[in-house]
Amino acid sequence: MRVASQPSASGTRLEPDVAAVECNAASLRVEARVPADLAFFEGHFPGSPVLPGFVQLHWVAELSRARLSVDPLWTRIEVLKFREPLLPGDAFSLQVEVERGAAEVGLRFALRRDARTISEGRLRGREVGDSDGDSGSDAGDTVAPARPLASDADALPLRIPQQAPMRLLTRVLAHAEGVTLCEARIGESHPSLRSGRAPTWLAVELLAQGMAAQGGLELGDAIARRAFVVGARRMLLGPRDFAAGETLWVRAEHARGETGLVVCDCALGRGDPPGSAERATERSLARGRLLAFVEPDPPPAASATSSA
Amino acid sequence: MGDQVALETEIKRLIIEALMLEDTSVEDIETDAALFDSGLGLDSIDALEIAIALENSYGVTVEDDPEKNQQIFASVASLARFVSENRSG
Repeated sequence: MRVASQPSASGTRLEPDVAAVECNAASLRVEARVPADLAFFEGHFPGSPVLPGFVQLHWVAELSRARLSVDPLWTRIEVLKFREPLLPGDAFSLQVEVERGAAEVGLRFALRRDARTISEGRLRGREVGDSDGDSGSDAGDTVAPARPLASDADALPLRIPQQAPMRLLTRVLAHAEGVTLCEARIGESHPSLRSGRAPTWLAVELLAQGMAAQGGLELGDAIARRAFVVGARRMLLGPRDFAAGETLWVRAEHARGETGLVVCDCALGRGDPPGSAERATERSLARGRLLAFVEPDPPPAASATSSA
Repeated sequence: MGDQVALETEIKRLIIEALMLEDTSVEDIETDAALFDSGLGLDSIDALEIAIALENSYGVTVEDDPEKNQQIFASVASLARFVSENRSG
């Protein structure tokens, strides 16, 4: 993997540099570049910036909303593949095709760099009326108060490779028999926040950080490995967005692999953390099977970083 | 022999289901054609999902042995051979 010569210290940019756009009613083609000073590179990861996968999904959704007027409540990631990471300064071309049904929207995208498809996916959403579409969160969806789910004394030690503002995990609540339950908090300075809300795609990052924690605890040295999401299938998305400062639980259950290509069944939700897989499924806001490349060794920055 | 053909068809269905392949039917997958690179154009992420599906459906264990797995995952025919030789119950 290429590593930028200089970590971006204070990136503030959030959008790709768009060079060209072609679109018609149902498809979109965008030529763009990943700005080197993107806010999402800060802390993800220290010394080796990689565009988080959820940002790609967010860009796909935002470009489709702006150019194709596609703005459903996203409910599902049917298929998702991240074959190679996007790095600072990378030029890419994005192809989006949209299929509109009576009540549903299907979107497929492919992102290419140098003619190679480096990511692709199929997303599905539900059309919502204006009445319930712009309220910020779903009806009956109460945002959890920003209180810790456990005291510091109950938490297990874990070093986490992401640093502020991209770090979402705050502590490990439980780890046993291949299941790790973490607490996460969406910090007020998280770059995905707009007017205090983060997009539904942040679920992918939350679940990936849960997998990274599970990987580190499974390996026994309490240092979370960097987990690069490579795929997902049948991932259910819950909330339209997340609120700044809200506290969530993230559960990762090992399904296959220790390091290298690892598969976990993941879920996240609000309120009391679930005690079983069944409860996690029942109470989750977002869930699905995630495939990630989990590095066997601790990240270089971990040895120099305290767990605080 | 008929059993083997039935198993091959079953595995084709399992691949389509596990990978959520769109616009692909059992008839579209040739039993002896390469699954990866050329052919269906599957990749290592797909292979992992096929492995999980085979393990869940047939109780076989796919080990982390790239050379052996290259042979097992060459085609539907080789997957079916692997399953019939290793399945439990």
